[in-house]
Amino acid sequence: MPDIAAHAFTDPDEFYSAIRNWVEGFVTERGDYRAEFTHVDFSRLWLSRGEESLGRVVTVTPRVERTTILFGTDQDQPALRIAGIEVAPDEAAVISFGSADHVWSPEASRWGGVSLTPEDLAALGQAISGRELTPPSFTHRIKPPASAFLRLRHLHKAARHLARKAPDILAKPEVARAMEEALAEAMVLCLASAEPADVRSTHVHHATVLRRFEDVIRANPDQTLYISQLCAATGVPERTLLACCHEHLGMGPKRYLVLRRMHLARRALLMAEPEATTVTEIATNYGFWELGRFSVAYRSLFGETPSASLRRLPDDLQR
Amino acid sequence: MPGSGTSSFTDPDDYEAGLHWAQMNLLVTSRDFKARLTWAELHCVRLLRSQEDLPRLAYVSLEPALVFVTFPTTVNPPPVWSGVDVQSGNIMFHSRGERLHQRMRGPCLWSLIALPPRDLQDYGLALFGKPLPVPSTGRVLRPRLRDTARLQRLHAQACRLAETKPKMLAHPEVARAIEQGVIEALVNCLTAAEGHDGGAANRHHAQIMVRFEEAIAENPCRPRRMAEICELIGVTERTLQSYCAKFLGISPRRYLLLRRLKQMRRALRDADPATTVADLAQRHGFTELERFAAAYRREFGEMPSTTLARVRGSGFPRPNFSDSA
Repeated sequence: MPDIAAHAFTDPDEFYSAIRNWVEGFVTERGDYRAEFTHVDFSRLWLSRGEESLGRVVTVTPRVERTTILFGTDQDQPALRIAGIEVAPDEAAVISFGSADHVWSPEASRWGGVSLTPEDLAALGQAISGRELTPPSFTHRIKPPASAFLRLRHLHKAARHLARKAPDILAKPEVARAMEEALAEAMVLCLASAEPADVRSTHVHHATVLRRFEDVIRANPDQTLYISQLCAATGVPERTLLACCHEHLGMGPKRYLVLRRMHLARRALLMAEPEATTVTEIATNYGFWELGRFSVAYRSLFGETPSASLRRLPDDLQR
Repeated sequence: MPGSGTSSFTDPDDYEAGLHWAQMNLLVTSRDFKARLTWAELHCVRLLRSQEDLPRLAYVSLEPALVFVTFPTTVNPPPVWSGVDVQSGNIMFHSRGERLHQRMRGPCLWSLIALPPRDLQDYGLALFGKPLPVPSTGRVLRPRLRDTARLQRLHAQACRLAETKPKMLAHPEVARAIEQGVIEALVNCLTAAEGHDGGAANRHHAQIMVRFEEAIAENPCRPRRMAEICELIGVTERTLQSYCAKFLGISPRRYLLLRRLKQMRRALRDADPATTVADLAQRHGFTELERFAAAYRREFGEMPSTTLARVRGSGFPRPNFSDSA
């Protein structure tokens, strides 16, 4: 029986932690955040699908060895940037295991993914296309044949619809099996006959830089970081880092680090006891010294004043 | 632990003493000297800003253990540092332990950034990817406009914080945030800059001017004849004259006189009560007492005896007639 889940969120942190802890990141656009997430684990194939109302940048770190294809689900949405590669609506990204790829969308996005283990992929590849499909060693972009890709997307949409509106039907073993087989076939056809990816060496280099970048961020979960530390840790000068970050994160490293500090401050404000601390104390702990500016920036990013976050009880977050 | 402070000065001597990390021999040619110094010591970077209300001359010796970058914030007319007009948006990257003449031609606001060479090297390597050598002679750099603007803005913000909220600046994370911003802006300025040091000729002139100072310093109390000094330096009087005009804006003779008068003023202040002006003047090589007194009065607006009396009045506690006062 497949494992079916459908959720809605208003807090990005909650959303990201719900995605099996594969995803970390933050919203980069101001406004009301709403997200919807559906996932269906069939016996072999896993399907996931999300919709987010604001632009954001997240790091995806697959924790299980699976080969995943990720794509935008709507024709009319702007291209996603996955690991620094622009993935147009008629293209998909193949995510490699062991990478930590940034997925950046400048505005509202709708995305979907399907994944298989390397063994299943190899076996199905042999059976369906007569080719052995090996897991990719790095994340890259493919342009699947239009017919196979269209079919994958239609099936994906139908699966989401069933998961949300009629999970009892999807839970029926015959339906689930039929759906899984159809999805797996479409996925294999997309992968097997995709046009080969063009990978430039600078791209590989930049991806390596971003991986080290991510390592530094992870190693310092609650500490403020500045650009000189990132340069030293990634071993590239500021100029290169700037190019890498624009490519993968859609913004320069300075802005990324400021946003990160804003989010750290927000987390601290939400966790803190309102009687025991002040906004000033928390803001300065994260290196913000112009408190007026901090308040304005905070408010426009999170939609409430820092003092309101501080007063809010942790329970309120659940709602 | 980061720290900061700000103080106002009306006495050039106190001002000299208040300048950290740089030894300054200041000559102020007017009477009502006023200056305000603001400094901030972050984790490894030190910042200093000085607001001076009068034109002045100074011979500055920078602390060799640190690397210095200085820049004027008001440049009307542009100050002359080491013989070079420092225009708006220019910064001066100093050599280690540099000695130079600074001439401010009007009221001036100028800023200083100092940090250990090791840190500059590490940050330069990390941010720029290549070593960032400290020049062997001071260079005036012209960075991209937005780089200088950013450096100036951050420096001003930090100094404003030092003046208004020193406690905030003492917070290690705030100090770090500011320091990291300053370093990044600084490295960008130093690497993106085109520079000039006024050319080989100016470098040579600057060396001569340092030798001139050395010759003066050799025996400060004995007045030397100009010819003697020129011989010591190895230039003609006429040459020295032209260099002084460029670096100091006055003749060597007048510079020498001002230096000696300043020294004399200091001696009068530190004098013990039994001394007379005549004694001191003699000791400082002013043989013609009347001419000395006139020159002294012209520069400082009071007679030497007044200085001596005033210092005596304040310097030595008299018996207290009323304890409550």
